[in-house]
Amino acid sequence: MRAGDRLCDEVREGGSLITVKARGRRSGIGRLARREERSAYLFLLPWLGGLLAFWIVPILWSIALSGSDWDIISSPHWVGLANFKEMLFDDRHFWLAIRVTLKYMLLSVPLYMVVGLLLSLLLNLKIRGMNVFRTILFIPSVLSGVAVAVLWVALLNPDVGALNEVLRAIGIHNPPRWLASPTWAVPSVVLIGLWGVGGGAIIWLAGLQNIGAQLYEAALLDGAGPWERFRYVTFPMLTPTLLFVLLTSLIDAFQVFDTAFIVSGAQGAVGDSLRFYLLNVWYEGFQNGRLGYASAESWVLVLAAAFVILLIFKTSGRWVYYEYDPERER
Amino acid sequence: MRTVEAAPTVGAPRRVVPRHSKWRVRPRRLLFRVSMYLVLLALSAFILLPAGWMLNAALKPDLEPVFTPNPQWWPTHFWHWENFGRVLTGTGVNEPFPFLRYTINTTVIVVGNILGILISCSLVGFAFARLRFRGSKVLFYVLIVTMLIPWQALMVPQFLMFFKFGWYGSYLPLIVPSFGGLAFFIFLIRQYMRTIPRDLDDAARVDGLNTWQIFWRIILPLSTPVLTVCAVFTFLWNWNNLLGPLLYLDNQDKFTVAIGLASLVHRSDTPWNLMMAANLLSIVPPIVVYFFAQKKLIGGIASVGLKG
Amino acid sequence: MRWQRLASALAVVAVIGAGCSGGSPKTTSSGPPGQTAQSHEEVTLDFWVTEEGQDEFLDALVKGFEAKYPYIHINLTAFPEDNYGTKIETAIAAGNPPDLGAIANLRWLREGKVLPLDDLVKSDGIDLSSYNSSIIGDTTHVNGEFGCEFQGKLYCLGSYLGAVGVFYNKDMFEAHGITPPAPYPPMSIDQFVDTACTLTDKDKGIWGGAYGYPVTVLPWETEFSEDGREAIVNSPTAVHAYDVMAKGIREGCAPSLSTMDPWEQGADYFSQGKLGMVVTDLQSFKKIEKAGINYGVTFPPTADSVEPFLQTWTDTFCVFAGTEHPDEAKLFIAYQTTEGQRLRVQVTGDMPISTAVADKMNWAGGIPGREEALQVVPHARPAVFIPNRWDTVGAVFEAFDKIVGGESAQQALDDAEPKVQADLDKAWKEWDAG
Repeated sequence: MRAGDRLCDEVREGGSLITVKARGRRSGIGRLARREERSAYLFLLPWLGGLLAFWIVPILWSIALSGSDWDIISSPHWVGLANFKEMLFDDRHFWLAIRVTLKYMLLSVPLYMVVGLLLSLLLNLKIRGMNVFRTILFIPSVLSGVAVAVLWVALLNPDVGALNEVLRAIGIHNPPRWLASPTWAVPSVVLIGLWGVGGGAIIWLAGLQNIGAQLYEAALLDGAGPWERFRYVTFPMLTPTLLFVLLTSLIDAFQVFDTAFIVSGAQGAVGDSLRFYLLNVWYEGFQNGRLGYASAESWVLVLAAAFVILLIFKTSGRWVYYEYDPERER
Repeated sequence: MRTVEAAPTVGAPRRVVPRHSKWRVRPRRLLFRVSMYLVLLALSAFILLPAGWMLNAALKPDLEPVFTPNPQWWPTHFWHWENFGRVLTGTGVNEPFPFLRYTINTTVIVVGNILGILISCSLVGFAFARLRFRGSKVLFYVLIVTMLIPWQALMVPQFLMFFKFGWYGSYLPLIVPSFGGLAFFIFLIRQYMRTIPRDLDDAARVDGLNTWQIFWRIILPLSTPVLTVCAVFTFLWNWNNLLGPLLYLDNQDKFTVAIGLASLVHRSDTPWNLMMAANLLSIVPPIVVYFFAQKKLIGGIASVGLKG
Repeated sequence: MRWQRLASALAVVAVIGAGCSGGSPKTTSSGPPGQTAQSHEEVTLDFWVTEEGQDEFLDALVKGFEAKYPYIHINLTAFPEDNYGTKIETAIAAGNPPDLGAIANLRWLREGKVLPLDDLVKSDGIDLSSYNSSIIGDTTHVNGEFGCEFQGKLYCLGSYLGAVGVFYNKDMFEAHGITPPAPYPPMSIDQFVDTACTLTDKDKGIWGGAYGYPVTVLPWETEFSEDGREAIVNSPTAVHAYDVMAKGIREGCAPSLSTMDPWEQGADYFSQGKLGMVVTDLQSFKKIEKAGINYGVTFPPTADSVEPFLQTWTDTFCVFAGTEHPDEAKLFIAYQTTEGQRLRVQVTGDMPISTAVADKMNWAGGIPGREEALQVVPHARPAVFIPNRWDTVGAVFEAFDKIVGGESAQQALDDAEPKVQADLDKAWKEWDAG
């Protein structure tokens, strides 16, 4: 047998061989790992190249801007940590924005995830005309953010809007004042986003499509009912998708902007109850002419979000199941 | 007695049904289907009623108030279909919204982006998904962190950088970066590719395929569903993207649909009927794309029978 | 309220210069206007506007100008209103501003990114004496973002006069036996709301009056000190005024702000005879005349012992510093404020900025309402200057919502005062720092 054949046997049998040898030792087996590594870097080239060409410089520039004062049209001047000091100790808008955004996050992320999953299970059924239903549910995501927000500002109008007319018709005499009410403003934005949750369904659907039928067959043979099939087959196989949706939903919640922009601009001023974090950043940077300060606030957000995200990642190993994880021993 | 049907149906597999009882409709199943239909219809109503309101607004004549006390969910009174025509051709001084031209421009940008994204993100996603290399963890965290950077922070620096490149006024800044991939899609593809069992890889290596061939011949074809998702989302985001084209373009002939739609919103005297009509028109191409893309969503490992 | 943005955005003039790609050839400064075309090289001016500004007036203006100066070509590009400021600022930052545009932000003036026009006024002999003084301003006042004068210099010249005013239905007043108000001086806010309640006819679905948030109706001095540095939103005057206005809405004498926005829909409802009085954009008289309402115009109401005030604005077309053709660009501005005013009256029927032009062109045309409007606007004066105005005063909007909802005016405004003061302090700190 040639060396290669023997190698293949070893690969099939153990894997630990490669794990051990690949740790930097020059050997026949290590060469395989190194070759894979070289291929990997080649595959990564578009991303690494793109980072270098289009991202590194603006990122460094933006970080530098956090320590300066800049109104875009004249030259920036350095202020060191003054922006951060002001943010933490002297700016009620900053803390307001954190509260508003957190409230939104705690409401929207669980809601969108649960509804999104349920919806995708529904849309995954083999029912005639499912294509049409899926397309209908996708429509809100296709409309421009401006149109959706304008539409819902009209629907949520406390006095003449459709939603409250319906609520009054079914007997609720003092329906909430939605966007005009401090308590209901953020839930209104969550509601608007809920209208568009069908858009994310295709991500779940792609994940669902990838669960092998033989797994369900095996479960059936074991006598599993629908709930057991979900719990022991569907859900575990969906955990990679779930992790993705969880993280991207969190990131979306941190970064909510489009809806907030239209919805709060309806008054011509940003009230306290709709002062989302990035909306506040936008106002500071592009209305009040303080792009340095806005950059500082942006990077604080990145730090906070990175902390949360990476924490979730570290703990994800315990509950996410990958069919193929190259980190695991072969 | 028939055995379990061979065709893979993902989701709720059918129960074993004896052939001779094919005509006996199981009441529980009928109830299930009917209730699912009802749920779907209710959801569709939730979606379509507001859209119907938009249609109603779009069909109103120019000075008719659009925000009325008794909301009309469906057009009943006014049928000014010509509003759609006005939006399409953008005739007249007050209606400079040449939708057709804007659509062509936007299509160019969208197609360019889809190409760039599919090529780059599948390559990079594959590396993160199924290859071992030093620094994979660190690089992946870097990838995730780039998703966290708000565009507000990078917008002006990137603009000035592209200006220095000499790309201002062209579509280049709007298309070329997509060839460097987007973290969102790379992450999505990574998650998806990791659900493909490694038996395939092993079998392939035994057959002497190298990494590239494994990617090209095995993994990529199996990833059609997730690539479809990426294409659909890329289409959508670029179709609706306002700020990019706004900053980098200065010739009205090059403007996109999103810019046209935004221009219809005035601080006073917004022509609501035209604005709604334009918005409704602009959802047609993405909806059509989505409808046809759904076929591609079926595929993946479910369609590949692995001899256990 | 929209009209603040309208004012700033109106001037959106996009000057997308040829910029990096082969653009206008460099020309030496052309001679004084009036010389024969052959002596001039071809010049292209980039002019950035908003979609809204691109109407028949602008069309006529550009056509007329190009006819008068055949060697100058205006390259018009329209951008969405909301992002116009950002577009201009990024262009300035890149060193590539348009030649002509609109002032959307006072900072541009302060940083010297816009060319002053005083020399143009002198050299062209433009007579500003009959221009509305709130726009042209005086050396002690800055009309903030609404006017053309800043720190003693003029940066735009305007062609029309936008103003907030009160339309009232003369027939309704007669039917109720109330003497119609004179154009000036205005009613107090108490009188206004009382009159509204008298005129209200719930059976017929008529509201006696309609008005927006107090901060957009009453003079700025109701809530702020004259220098704009102190918030006095919970002063007895302000509390009383807010209370009266909220009562008017609660008792149904005026529609709530979510039922009807007087700015967007005021003229519509008034034209349908559903309103006795409305505080709204004076430019809507065309709609009202078309509906055949017998209308009168009066000055907006004021709070007790506060000097009356009405908000004015105009198109803030300006010339950006860094243009390669300042002389030609200034020619355009001169044209816009002279011939442009006549075009305003002819093409769109808007009120010109100069009362002299209004008289000469008989803008009033014998309509009593218009004549009253012409008596109202000369009493306009500059607004109190507040940096980042709409972001700073946000808390009073919410306070008014609460008062309408039933909370005590004193309480709501006491709560709002520290917030507004804090925001005000921050805004001034940034402004003073420069």
